[in-house]
Amino acid sequence: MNTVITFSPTPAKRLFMVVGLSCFLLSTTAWAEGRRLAVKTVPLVSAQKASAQPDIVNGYSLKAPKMTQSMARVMADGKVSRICRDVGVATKSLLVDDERKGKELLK
Amino acid sequence: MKGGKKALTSSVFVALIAGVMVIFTATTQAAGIENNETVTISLPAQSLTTDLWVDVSAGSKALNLEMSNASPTNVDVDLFVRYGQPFTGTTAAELSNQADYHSIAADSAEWLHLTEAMAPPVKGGRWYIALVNYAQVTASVDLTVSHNANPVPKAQIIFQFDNTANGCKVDGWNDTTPFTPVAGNNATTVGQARRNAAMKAAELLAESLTSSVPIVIQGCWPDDLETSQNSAVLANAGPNRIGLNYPGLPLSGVWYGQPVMERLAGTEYCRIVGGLDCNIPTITANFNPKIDTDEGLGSTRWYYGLDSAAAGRNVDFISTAMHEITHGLGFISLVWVGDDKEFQCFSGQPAIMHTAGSKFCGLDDVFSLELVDYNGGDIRPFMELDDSQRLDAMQSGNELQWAGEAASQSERNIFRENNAGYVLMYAPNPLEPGSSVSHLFQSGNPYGTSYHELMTPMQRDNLRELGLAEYMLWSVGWNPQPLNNVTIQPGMWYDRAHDGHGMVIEPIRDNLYYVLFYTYDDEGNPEWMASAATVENGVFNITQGDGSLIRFLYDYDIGPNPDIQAHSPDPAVSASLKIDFNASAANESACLEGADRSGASHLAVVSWQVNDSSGSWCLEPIISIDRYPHPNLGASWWAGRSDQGWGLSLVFFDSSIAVVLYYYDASGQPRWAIGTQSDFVIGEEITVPLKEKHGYARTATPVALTETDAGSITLRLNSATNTLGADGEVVNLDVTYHGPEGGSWQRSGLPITNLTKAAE
Repeated sequence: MNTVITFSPTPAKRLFMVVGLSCFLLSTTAWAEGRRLAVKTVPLVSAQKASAQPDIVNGYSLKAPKMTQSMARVMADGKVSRICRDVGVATKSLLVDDERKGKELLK
Repeated sequence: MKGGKKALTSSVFVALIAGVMVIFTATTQAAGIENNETVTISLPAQSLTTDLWVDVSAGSKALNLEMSNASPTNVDVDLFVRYGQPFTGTTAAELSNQADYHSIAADSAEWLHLTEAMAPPVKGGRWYIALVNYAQVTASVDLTVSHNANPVPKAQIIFQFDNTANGCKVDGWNDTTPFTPVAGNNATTVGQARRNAAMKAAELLAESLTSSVPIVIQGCWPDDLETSQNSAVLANAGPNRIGLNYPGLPLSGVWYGQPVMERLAGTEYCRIVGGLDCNIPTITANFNPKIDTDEGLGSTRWYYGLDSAAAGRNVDFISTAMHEITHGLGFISLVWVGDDKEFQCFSGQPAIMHTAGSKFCGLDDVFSLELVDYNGGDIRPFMELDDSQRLDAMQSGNELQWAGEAASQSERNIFRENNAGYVLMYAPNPLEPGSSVSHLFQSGNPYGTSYHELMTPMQRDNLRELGLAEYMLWSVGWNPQPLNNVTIQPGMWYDRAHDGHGMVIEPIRDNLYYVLFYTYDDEGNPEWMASAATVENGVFNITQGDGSLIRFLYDYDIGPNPDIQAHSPDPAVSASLKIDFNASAANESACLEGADRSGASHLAVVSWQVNDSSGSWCLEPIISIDRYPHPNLGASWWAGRSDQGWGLSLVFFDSSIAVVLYYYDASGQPRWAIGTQSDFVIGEEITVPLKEKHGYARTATPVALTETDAGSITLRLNSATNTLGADGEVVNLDVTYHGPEGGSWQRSGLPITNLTKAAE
């Protein structure tokens, strides 16, 4: 014999439907913010960012060692001639290790 | 009616149940992210997920990923993206190594704007996504993904007029001195006139550039630039940072300037390097305010007209700004040109002295890699010279040339009909620190003319277009065309119509590939040849130069010898090789004829030539990449420089191993043997019986192959390594050649290492 779902649900069924509708409405709200995905995760073996280690194999950056510079000279005919030269930076150390380290992990 | 009501009621209930099930599914099971969708992802403290992907539709040219709404707001969550293959890494470092792109700043507002003009380019297929939460609390973030068929956008150049970081003086942008409008610049104050002119310079440059990442220029008006009545520094500019080996940068071990890094990596500097500070401008440009007073160059003034360039004695602001910013965009060699100078390049290591001709910090830069020393005879890559030779080229007058194809062939290159057709660079003698190398040739030329371009070192014409420099910038990372628009499966390839011949195709690094062609000579005896070349626009060895495919001979009177190569090219053989991996290859006659290719995962056309014979074959991978194990040690291996000239290719599939051994017979002719064995286990010794195959010449009608036992090879492999025997990788082999020349090849307990990159 087939089970017939009547139009007048029992209290238990009504409760189920209310819960279902609530879930549906909640779900609709969640979709508006972004579908919530539960993803498989694994713990980090190391909590240190790879970028924290100054390793040229895995990415490395420095301050640029020089910039270019346009000079102007007043020539004998009174006109101005422009010449471009580049200049090295004054500092000896170009290291920017702190930029790559990221912040301390939240406690 | 009653029955109908029941049915309706039933349907509603089923719908509700289904709705609940959809909710259940949506909130508990990982899934692909749809186009233009925002998903919310929760990550436990200090965890990572590799469980996400987006299926990008065919024809797409742009892929954007943006994170937002992190909770808590101050967590550090990083974003990694990879085309075609899932992430297998379990640490952040492994994810970085596997990622094609990443965004890893110290916050959680990560973003990637990827285009078809990056490597790899955006294309249809599955893009895998990984996230890492470094925080010691659970973090929730929204991730929005979209893809479309929009081409690379025009570059957006943002001039900052209020960024005082690092002592930048911005008063000059707000100078209230009255200004008389000129040539479309309708400002009423000098400050406003300067801003209008700066934005015009940015606009003119942006017309010729494409990028999905804004170029941010910090503009400053320092009051300490060198100034006198007859001479003054007008302006200077440069990228703030340089970097190498980050995801998205096509060449490894090569310096890129910050603007190019950002364009090729698809995000801003701090997100490329993992930085704290996301307010570092791309370029800083300084301008001398004293030019607008009698203190600098007497009555000369900056000219701020928008619609026309300066004439007479005044100095054109827009032309000057464009020239300097173009250097900042990447038109600059990092080879040292000035006085001797020490730089500390690497943490914890001594400073490195730089003298004229030195590579910066001992490494190549992307601009200088396009340069050659060409004297009408040999073409010598600039970065393959030693420092002394490089200095000579820098002072050679006209031998220093730019070999980049786009610029050389451009109509803007007025020397394209001369000699090699390259672009002549500025290489005066004596050296002019700064001007040399990083500018176009201007004076003393041998052809009776000179470039009239924005990027010549001296300017009197106040040009306002990138001109030839636009095409030169393409070679350093501004190419608007798709890059290397193919993915090449590393391993063994063959032609169904020429069974028995084959090729092992594997990357050495980036787009540089090594090809071993195992084939048969005219008598059907096994022989092999090798080639190394780059893959450009999907084509291996696009130039197909003579001698690009080499048949080696071995001299037993020399080898093995750590100091002298025992192998050398066979002078009797002139051979070349070219392989087209593009999708269009499937429509070539080589692939349409000769055999049924159904089921092939990828078709490529190889065009080979050996002395007077040549052919075009249709290649496909022998083994599906799905059968490659993880980790995969499949690569070509060798015994290092002390015993070179021979080697072996290993291909792993399921739990089996295939070996191709390349060795020599008693007369030094190159021979190969092949074998397979099951039950390979990393770290355990395995013996593979090898077969000597005899077949048919490359141009002959295929016949059945014959085989004889050649001996065996015993291997123990622990990991892919670039250091000889670093992890105990050793080979024992004993092989006999049964052809008329005879001979045997034996090694015992020999350490080996990767010659090519192991396939992931």
